[in-house]
Amino acid sequence: MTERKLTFMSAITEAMVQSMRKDETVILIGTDVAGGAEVDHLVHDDGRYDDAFGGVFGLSKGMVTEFGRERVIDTPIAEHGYFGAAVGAAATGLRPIAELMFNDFVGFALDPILNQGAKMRYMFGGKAKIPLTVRTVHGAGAGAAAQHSQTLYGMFGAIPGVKVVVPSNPYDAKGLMLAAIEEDNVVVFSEDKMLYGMKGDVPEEYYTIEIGKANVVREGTELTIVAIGKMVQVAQEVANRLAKGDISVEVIDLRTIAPWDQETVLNSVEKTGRLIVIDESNPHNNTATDIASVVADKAFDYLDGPIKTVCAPNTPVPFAANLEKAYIPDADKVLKVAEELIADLRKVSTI
Amino acid sequence: MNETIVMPKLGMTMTEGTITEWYKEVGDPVEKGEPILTISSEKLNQDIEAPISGVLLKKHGEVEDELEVGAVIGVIGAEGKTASTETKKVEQPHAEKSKTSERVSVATVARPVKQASTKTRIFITPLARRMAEKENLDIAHIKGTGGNNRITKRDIERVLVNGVDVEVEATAERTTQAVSVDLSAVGEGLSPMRKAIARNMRGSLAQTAQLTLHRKVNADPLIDFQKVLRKEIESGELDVKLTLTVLIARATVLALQELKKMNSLYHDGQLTEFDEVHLGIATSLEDGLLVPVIKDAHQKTIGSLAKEMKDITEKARSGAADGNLLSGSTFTITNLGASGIEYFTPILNAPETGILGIGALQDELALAEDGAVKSVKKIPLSITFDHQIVDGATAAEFLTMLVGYIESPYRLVL
Repeated sequence: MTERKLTFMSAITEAMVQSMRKDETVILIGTDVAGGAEVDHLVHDDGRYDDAFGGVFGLSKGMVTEFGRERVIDTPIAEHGYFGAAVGAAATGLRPIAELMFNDFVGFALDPILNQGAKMRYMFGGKAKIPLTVRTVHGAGAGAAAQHSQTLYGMFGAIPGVKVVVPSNPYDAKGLMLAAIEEDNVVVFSEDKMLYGMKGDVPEEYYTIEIGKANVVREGTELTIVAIGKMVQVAQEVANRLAKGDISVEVIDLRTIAPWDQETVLNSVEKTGRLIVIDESNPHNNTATDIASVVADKAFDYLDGPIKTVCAPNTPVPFAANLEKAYIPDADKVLKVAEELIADLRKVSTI
Repeated sequence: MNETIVMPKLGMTMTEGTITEWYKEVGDPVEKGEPILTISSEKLNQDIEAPISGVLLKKHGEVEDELEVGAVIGVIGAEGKTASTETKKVEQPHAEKSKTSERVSVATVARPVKQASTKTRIFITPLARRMAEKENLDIAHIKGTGGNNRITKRDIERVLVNGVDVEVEATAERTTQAVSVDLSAVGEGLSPMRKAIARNMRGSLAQTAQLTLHRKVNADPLIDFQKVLRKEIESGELDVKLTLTVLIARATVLALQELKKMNSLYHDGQLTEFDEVHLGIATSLEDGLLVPVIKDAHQKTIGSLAKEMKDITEKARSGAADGNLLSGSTFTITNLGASGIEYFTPILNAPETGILGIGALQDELALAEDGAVKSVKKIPLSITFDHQIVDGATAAEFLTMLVGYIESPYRLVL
């Protein structure tokens, strides 16, 4: 395995390209994914095409040139329409990757996902598979204001029949993307736009990471922190800072938020007795509250303190940079919340 | 709308009050703001005024009844109205004249009486509870060190490993519990003020580890300084007497600001050190003792300290002190010098960490540098401190600082 650094963004592109090379039923569909390439009026006199941008973040740049307009399909700005097409294509033998440019636009795309894609396999007695991957983008921090910065993966996670994957680093992004494309059910693959530039080791070969399995990224014995997406970095910073006070933190990267890995989380809490969940979603009815409720139920007798969740506040994402920064959970907020849980660890029993 | 009158909380430590006199009878009209009854608590008598104009509909207690803070004392309603539905509920079964009437009357009588002992709930995590049950430990005897003073796994483990520790803690818990139970009976049959004093003193002795240090301080420089200042202050517009106590109070404030450990409260398992000094001044009354407080004494000049000390002690003596004036101190001074007492062992005004006792100024013979015998004025000082919070060295340091200020009094105005 070679040590090769890729950005989070390139890792996703590489996963899409590799799957499309491997499996000709894989197609990419969405607003601007081809970026106008090979459109007649963009053809130069010498027959060259403009090198289109390839999606709003440039993730699919170059893909239309390799796979053609039959497999990399630009759509009108009509999410309901092309998501309907994607669900239909999935039901009839293709493996579409459909891109919802920002998860904030979910309202327009929801019916095909919620009421068609997520129901068909069930209602048709298992006769239809819906191998649809919904790629979308979440997260605050880019100054993109209230309508382009939300964190809504929890909404998808509430739908039975939809799996939701939130990668936290380039390696996971590629492996989880390939697993999502291979999956025979609807998978929402939610990318944090603030992670796109993150660099990390990504093997060149084709590999998958199991959906539904969390990753213990740091082992510890006294406090479990479960984190989602870019919040894993926050959790690691908290763990580093608490380690200076000799408090041992276990950090779990949830990777999949639906169905989330109860076994790994419960095992960890049974070991540490303390749990904090960090989720950038708004604070109610989200993944963090779901984890808290399941752990309170199933690991009650192992809890050595209340379960804490650290989430964004119950407001839209502010545009002002200082407010946006205050909106996103960070290590200081987590440490503040942690204080109640670790008070007894800090006190040196002298008697 | 009917309006209820409840037992007010007049001071931080007040838990119940006694009805001393009803000015109104049921059915009497009352004006908003008019006194309806008077209650006494701990150290105070207080008139309770009508919150609205109307008619006194109901009394929930008679003279000498003791009611908890927050308990309903009476109900005022617009004329012609009856007392609240609550009262109706009580009366309804009466009408039935059935066997239940007996129970009802008991309940009615029982109402003003103190409710079941306010046993504090023990917070313990599910894990710790399970472990304690498995090990057959009595959680009442385990100290919780977790957030919100919860008992956690770590506490159980500590108790399991360190058997002696359990014993110590268990006895400590038991003592406090026993005392707090006993305290409810302390001072039974005494006047409300004596009862409060009895409880405070017993509580203080039971909950702290008190120790007193004594030393004398040469007061000659302070007396000279007093003379100088008197000219300034008493000739000014301020109508106050500049006593040595005031100057020593000023010295105390300065020393407390340097040594904050002495300016602290230890209460409910929490130690708080204060930047601000709220100075309690023990003031004797005919049949008791009050501690009115000079708030923010650290911000006051010697002149205003003098004035305020006069004001608050006069208020306390005349019975005009309210709960606000009698609570919130962080350190207390008590002076028995006027009675010729030299050294004594003041009892801490819990939950404070220190109390300074000032004794009588006296002439002493001392050897001057040239070997001649000369007369020196000296003041005996006694500092009682809570040995749980500070050690003898700290208290001694505090006294030394105080002596420093008293012997170089110009520092009091620096």
